[in-house]
Amino acid sequence: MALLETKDLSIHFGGLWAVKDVDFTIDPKEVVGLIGPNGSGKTTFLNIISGIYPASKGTVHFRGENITGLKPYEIFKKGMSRTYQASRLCWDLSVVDNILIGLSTKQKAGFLDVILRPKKTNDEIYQGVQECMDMISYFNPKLIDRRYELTKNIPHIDRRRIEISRALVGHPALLLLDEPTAGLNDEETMSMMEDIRKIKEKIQDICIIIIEHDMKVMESVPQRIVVFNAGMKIAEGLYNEVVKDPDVIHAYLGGAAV
Amino acid sequence: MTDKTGFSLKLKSDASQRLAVVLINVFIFALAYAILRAPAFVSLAFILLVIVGLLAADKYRIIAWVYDLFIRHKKLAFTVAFLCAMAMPLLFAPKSSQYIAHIAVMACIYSMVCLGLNFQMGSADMVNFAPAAFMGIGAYSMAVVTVNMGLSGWIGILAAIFFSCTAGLLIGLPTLRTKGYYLSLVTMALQLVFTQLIKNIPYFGGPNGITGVKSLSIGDFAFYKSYTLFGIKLAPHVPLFFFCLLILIFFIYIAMRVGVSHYGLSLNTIAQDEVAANCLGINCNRRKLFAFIIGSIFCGIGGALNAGLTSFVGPSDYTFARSLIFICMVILGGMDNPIGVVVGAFLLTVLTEKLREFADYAQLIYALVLVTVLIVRPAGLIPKRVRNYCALFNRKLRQLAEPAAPSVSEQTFQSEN
Ligand SMILES: Nc1ncnc2c1ncn2[C@@H]1O[C@H](COP(=O)(O)OP(=O)(O)OP(=O)(O)O)[C@@H](O)[C@H]1O
Ligand SMILES: [Mg+2]
Repeated sequence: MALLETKDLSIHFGGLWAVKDVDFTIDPKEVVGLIGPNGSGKTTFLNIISGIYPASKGTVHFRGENITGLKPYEIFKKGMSRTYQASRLCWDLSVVDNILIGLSTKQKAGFLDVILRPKKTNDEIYQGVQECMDMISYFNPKLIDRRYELTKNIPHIDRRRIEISRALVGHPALLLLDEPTAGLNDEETMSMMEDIRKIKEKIQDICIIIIEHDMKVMESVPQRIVVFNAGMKIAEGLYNEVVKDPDVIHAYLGGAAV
Repeated sequence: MTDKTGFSLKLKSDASQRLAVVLINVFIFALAYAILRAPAFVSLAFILLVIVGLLAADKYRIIAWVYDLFIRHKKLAFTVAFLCAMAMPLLFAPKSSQYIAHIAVMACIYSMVCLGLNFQMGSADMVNFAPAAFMGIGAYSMAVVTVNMGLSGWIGILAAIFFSCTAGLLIGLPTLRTKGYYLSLVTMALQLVFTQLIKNIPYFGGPNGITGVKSLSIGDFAFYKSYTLFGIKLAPHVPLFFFCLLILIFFIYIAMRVGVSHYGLSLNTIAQDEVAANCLGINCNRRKLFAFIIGSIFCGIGGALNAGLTSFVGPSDYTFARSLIFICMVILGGMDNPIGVVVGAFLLTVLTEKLREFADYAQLIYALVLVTVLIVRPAGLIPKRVRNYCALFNRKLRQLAEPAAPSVSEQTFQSEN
């Protein structure tokens, strides 16, 4: 059974169909890459499945359940989490706190527990902080020493790592990465690629959908590529096959390449 | 960035750290006492000194250092602070210092309201322009229950909690549909509606308000009554002062605990990025409603106590202008920091009360202080702190008798931004 399945998924803003009739599936343990020219609707597609935009048409099934029309926080609780093209960290919170937010649904302490702080609540917070630090040190051990620093003082690549850690601490079944290497230089892109591979090593069962413009990343990280153009899915398959597809060359590379 | 410049006095031994905790605590309370006790201009000088001192102290990381010390010796710090606070009413006990006792009780009550407002304004960045209205709801509940119905003050408090909670819920629900300035505008409108309503409903005494509000009492022991102890005639405020202090300490405790918990964290996240919060499983509306309700309960209880203190409620006490003062207190003290909020409320309450005879200048000084502080440090006198989990780790390590792993080297002094 597919982990995520969309049927005829569409959305329009005014007269523009930003995503149109997309049938998309991802199987358990799969890593899928999403490519397409600027404005082809990749981010919008993620926004629909994570519940930020309501679909104008079509359905989304996640783990066999119809999640169309659910609120983002409900979808998160079902095991889907994401990062953003332009990072959405809380700049005025520390590194630990930023990651700890990803656990807030896992923290069961009610109001009275929070006030009285019985041992189980203390343990819960202790465990939570520990998990956050384990997660961030998995990507960059140096960040452990900077855990109480505000994220606005942290370098760009580490912010990306914090964002990924925040999405991962809750152990999602599906991780959506929207251009994790945006704004990184070549060297940083390589280490980010390495980090994404490490996600798979740490949590083997996880599914990842990754949007990326960098072809080096797309060639090596995902198992399968889906190509978007003008809101529609125009091709999918292995990287080597997809880049030879005439439609893709025409749409994505503007016919100039090859 | 972590520049370790600034104040760093390393107190090696446990005993010296404990001594520092005690001394700092006593110093803070002595200062508060001096500010309350001194005549108008001396008191004003003290207040300005405290403000300048706090601004300088944060620059040299002294506040962070004190915080660290206090977190490390949490129990001791709390005990000493509690004892010092409880000694305060005794210092104002004689009847001669009645007015000062009155100011002190007022400072407590305003602090409660500001703590309530802080949940909305500080933590969740929803600037609520109606704290005085919520306070008024509490005060009028108290007045109606004790005067119009002739019931006990305790039922008045319960009514205040119930009605402010309901009002918070009712006002919170529609307000959640708006954000930012629009939310503020809605609350502003509600504040104006509240004042008008109260003025025009005869049951609430109209513009004259309700007089003769009973204060609380346990059996024959009234909270607002002059007693004679060892031949000294006490100010009538003393029992009420004790009671208000206890409630205030309880509120500070709640505010701090909520602040460091996942409740506070999700409110902060909502304040900074609602979409991200939503996508991280936080039910934003529910959390905002929580901030509204707990905030209005704090305000409501403050209002009920205020009605008991002045034995009068009138529409002029719970106006938009009063709401603005509460907002100023929170901003001056430091948003999202309960201690800062209480300091702000204390300083501004004393400032206005002490300069009552010079009311014209009072407004000027008030505005001057506020503008200066906001220019020098927009985050307030005691800015919000980074949540520090070291106490938890220290305890854990002691329990498990484990050596400090490098990943939990929480025990070193942390430089905080
Ligand atoms: N909230 C919105 N309102 C109106 N139009 C929108 C909205 N969000 C996206 N669009 C439009 O939908 C189209 C698809 O945008 P989207 O951001 O999904 O592209 P993308 O494939 O992620 O591009 P990029 O590679 O630049 O990130 C664009 O034409 C964009 O202008
Ligand atoms: Mg995009």
